[in-house]
Amino acid sequence: MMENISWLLDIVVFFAVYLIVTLALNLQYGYTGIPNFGLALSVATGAYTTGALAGRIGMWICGIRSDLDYIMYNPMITSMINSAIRYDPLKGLTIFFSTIIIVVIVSAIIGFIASYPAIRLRADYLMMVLIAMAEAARIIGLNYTPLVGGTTWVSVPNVFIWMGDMASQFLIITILAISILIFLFMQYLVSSPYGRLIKAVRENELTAECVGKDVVKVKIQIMMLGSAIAGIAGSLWSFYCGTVLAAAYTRTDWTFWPWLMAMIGGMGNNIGALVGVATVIICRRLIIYYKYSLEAYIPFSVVWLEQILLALALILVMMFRPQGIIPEKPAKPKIKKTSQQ
Amino acid sequence: MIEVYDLNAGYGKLHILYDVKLKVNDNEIVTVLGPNGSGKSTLLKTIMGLTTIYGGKIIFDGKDVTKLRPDEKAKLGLAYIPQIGNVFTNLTVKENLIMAGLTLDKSEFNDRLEYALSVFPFLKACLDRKVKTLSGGERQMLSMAMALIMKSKFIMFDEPTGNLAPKIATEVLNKIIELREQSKLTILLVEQAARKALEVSDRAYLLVSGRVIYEGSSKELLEHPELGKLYLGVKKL
Amino acid sequence: MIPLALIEDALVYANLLLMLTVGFTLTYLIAKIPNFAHGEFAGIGVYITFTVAQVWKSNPYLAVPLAFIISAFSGALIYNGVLRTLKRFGGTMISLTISTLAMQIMISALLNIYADYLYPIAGAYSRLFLFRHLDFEFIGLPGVLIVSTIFLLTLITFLHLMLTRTRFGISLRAVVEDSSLASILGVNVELACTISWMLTAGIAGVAGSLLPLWFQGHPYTGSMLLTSVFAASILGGLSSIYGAMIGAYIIGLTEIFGTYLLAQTFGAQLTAYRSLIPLTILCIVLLIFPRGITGLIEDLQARRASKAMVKIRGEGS
Repeated sequence: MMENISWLLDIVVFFAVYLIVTLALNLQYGYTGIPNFGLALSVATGAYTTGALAGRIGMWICGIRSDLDYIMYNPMITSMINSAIRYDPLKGLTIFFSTIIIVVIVSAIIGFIASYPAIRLRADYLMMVLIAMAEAARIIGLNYTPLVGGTTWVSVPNVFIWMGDMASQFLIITILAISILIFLFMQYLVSSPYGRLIKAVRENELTAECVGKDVVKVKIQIMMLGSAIAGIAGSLWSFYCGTVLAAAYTRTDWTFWPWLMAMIGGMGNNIGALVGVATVIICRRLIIYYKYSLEAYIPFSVVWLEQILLALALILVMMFRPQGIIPEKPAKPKIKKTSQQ
Repeated sequence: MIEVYDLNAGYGKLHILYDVKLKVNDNEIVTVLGPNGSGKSTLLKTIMGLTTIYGGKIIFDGKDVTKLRPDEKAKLGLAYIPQIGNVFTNLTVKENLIMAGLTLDKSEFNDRLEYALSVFPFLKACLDRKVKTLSGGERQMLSMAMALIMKSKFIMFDEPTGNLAPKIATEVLNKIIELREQSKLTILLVEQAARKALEVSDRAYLLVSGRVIYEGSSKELLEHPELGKLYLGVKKL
Repeated sequence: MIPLALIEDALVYANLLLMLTVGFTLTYLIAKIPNFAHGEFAGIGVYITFTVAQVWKSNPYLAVPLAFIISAFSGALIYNGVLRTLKRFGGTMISLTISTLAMQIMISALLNIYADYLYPIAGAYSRLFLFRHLDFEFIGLPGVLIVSTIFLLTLITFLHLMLTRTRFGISLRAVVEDSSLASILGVNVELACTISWMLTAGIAGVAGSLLPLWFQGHPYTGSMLLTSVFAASILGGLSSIYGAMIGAYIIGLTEIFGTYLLAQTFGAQLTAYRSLIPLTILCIVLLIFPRGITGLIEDLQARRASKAMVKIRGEGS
C-alpha cells in the first residue's frame, strides 16, 4: 500500500514538473512559433541556480560559518541547514521562495542572452544556437565546480523538514500547486490581448510588423518568460530530488521529452499539453516499472530502448497526428455586445 | 496532343480546380483566360505535375501522364514556362541554358544553343555571368532563349506578356506564332485579359473560380456579347 | 613556441571538421533544414574503425571505404525513409528538423547499444578508445594527417568540378535554388537529393572513421562535434560549400589553438570549456555579419559584377 502511494506521488511530481516545462515550450513554440530546441538550457539554469544558491542562502539565513567551502563541505552544510530549519518554518519557506525568485530572474536573463544572437534571424539559426547553448550550459555545469560540484553533486536543503514525516508529501503538493498556478496563468495569458498578439506573431510576422507590433521584442519577451517558467521547473525538480547533478540535464531528458509531450498533446493548446504530459509520463513510468521484465526480452539496456521509442514516437506523431490528441481550436472572436441602436 | 478530363486539383487541402475539361490539338495555339485567382496558373502547374491531383486524367500523346513526376513529363516533351522565377539567378547564363537542354543529347543541344544565341545575341556577351546580375528584361530574354532550347512538343506559357510593355508584348506573341510555325509546336497560353492573345490563338477557354465556363474558338469569344464585356474588357466599336 | 603535436592536432581536427561542415552545408542547401543527425554519420564511422581495428584486428584504414558505404547507405535510408515520407504527410520545415533530431537520438542510442554489445567481444573498452598507436608515420608526420589532407584535397577538387562542370552538379545547384523549376526542366529532384545525402553522409562517415586515429572516439563523438559544425557552417555563411571550407578551417584552428592559449594563460582546467569557443564565434558572427564569410564575399562580387554589366550593356547599345 505504502509502496503504491509513493509510486503515485512520484508520478505526480514527474507530471507537475514536466507540465511546467511543456507549458513553457507550448508558450514559445505552440503559441508564438519559436522553435526552442534549447529548453534544457532553461531547466538546467533553474536547477544549477537552485543547487548553487539554496544552500548558500540557507547558510546566510541560518547564520552558518561562511568560511566553509560550500562544495567541499556540502553534505555537512546541508544537514546543518536542515537541523536549523527543523523547528523554524519561516526560515525554510524563506529559503524556498527566495531561491525560486532568484531562479526566475536568472533564467529569464539566460533566456534573453541565449536567444539574443539569433532571434532576428531565420528559425534554423535560432534552433542551432539554442541547442548549442543548452550543451554549453551542461559543459559549464560539469566543469565549473563552485556551481554545483561539477561531476559530483550538491545537495539542496529540505525546506519543508519542519513538517516532519509529511515533509516530502507537502513538497509534492506544493510543486503540484505551483504547476496548477502556472497552468492557470498560461490559460489567462493566451486568452488575453497579449495572447492574441503572440499568435499573430506566429501566424504572420510580416503582418504583425505591418500593424505596428515589434515582433522581435515580443519574441524576446516570450523567450524570457518561457525560460523563467522552465527554470522554475528545474528548481522544483532539484528541491524534490534533494540534489543537483550537472550531468542529469541532458537534451534528451529536458528538451526532447517535453517536445514529444507537447506534440502528442497538441501544440498551441494548454489542455493538450496537459494530456500530452500525462500520456507520455504514464508510458515512460510503465517502461521503468516493467524494466526488469523487459530486460529479459531485449538484449540491451532499457535506457536505449527508451531513447529509440522517443525518436520513433516523435516521427510517428509528426506523420500521423501532427495536430496532436487535442488540436488547437481556431480562436473565436469575442464580440462585445454593443448597445443596440 | 493533350487532353484533360474532369481534373480536380489544388495545393494540399486547398481545392482550386473543379472538373476541368480541356483539349489542345496538334499544332494549335489555345489560350486560357480568366480573372485573377481563377486557377489559370494552377491548371498549368497541374498539367506539369506540381500540384496535388484529387481526381481526373491527363492524357498526353495518347498516354496517361496523370501520375508522372514533372521531370518525367519534361522528358516526354512537355514544357512549362512559369510567369515568375523562370530562371536560376545563382547560376550563370550558360548554366541556365544547359539546364534548359537537360533532356537533349550533346550535339542537339549545341545546335539549339547556337540557334538560341543567334536569336538573342545579347546573351553571348554574358554567358559566364550570374543571372542575378541581369536586369528583369534581360532575364525575360534568357527565359525565352531557354524555351527555344527545350526539347518539347507542347509548351505552356504562363502570362508571357505579363510585365512587358505593349510593344514588346506584341513581339513576344508574334514569336510564339513563329515557334508554332517553325518548330511545329503546340502551345497553351495563359493570359489574364488579353485581346491580343486571343487574336493569335485558335481556340480559347474561359476559367472562372476553377471551372471552365466557356469553350470555343477565339473569334467567337471575342465577339461574344456578354462574356467579352465581362472578362475581356472588349469594347464594341 | 607552439609544440608540433599541437599543430598536428589542429590540422587533423580542421581537416575532419571541414569534411563534416561541407556535408552539413550541402545538405542544408538542398533540404533547406539543418540536419542535426549529420554528426551521427561520423559516429557510425568511429565505430566502424573500432570494429575493424579492435574486433577484426585489421588495418584501421580498411574502415575508411567501409565507413563511406555504410554511412552513405544510412543517409539514403534517413532521407528516403523519414524525411521524404514526412514531406509526403505534409511535414513543415520545423517537423522535418525535429525528425533529424529524432534520428540523431535514434542513431546515438543504436551506437550505444553497439558499443555495449562490442565490449565483451572486443576485449577492450568500447566507450572510449584511441588508435594512435595503430597509425603509420611518414617523414615524421602522422598517417592520419597525410591521409585526411589527401582525401580533403581530392574531395574539394571533386566537388568543385562536379558542381561546375557536370550536368548533375549544375542540376544540383539548380535544385538548391528552385527545386520545382529544376523538376520542370527534367531534373529528378528526389534522386538528386538522395545522391547528395549519400555523398554528404559518406564523407561524414569517412571523417568519423579517421577520427579515432588521432582523437578519442566514443558514442557521443558525433553530437559533441555538432556545435563546431554549426559554428563553422554559419561562419561560412550557410550558403556555399566554399564558405563552409573556410569556416571549418578557421573554427578548427581557433578551437585547438584558442584552447591551448587559454590553458597556457589561465591554467589547464580551461581545456574542458573547449566547445565554448565555437559557440562564442557563432554568436559573434550572428550578431555582426549573419551572412557569414560568403555574404561578405558576395557583397564585394556584386559590386564588381554590376560595374561589369554596365559596361556590357553600354557596348550592346
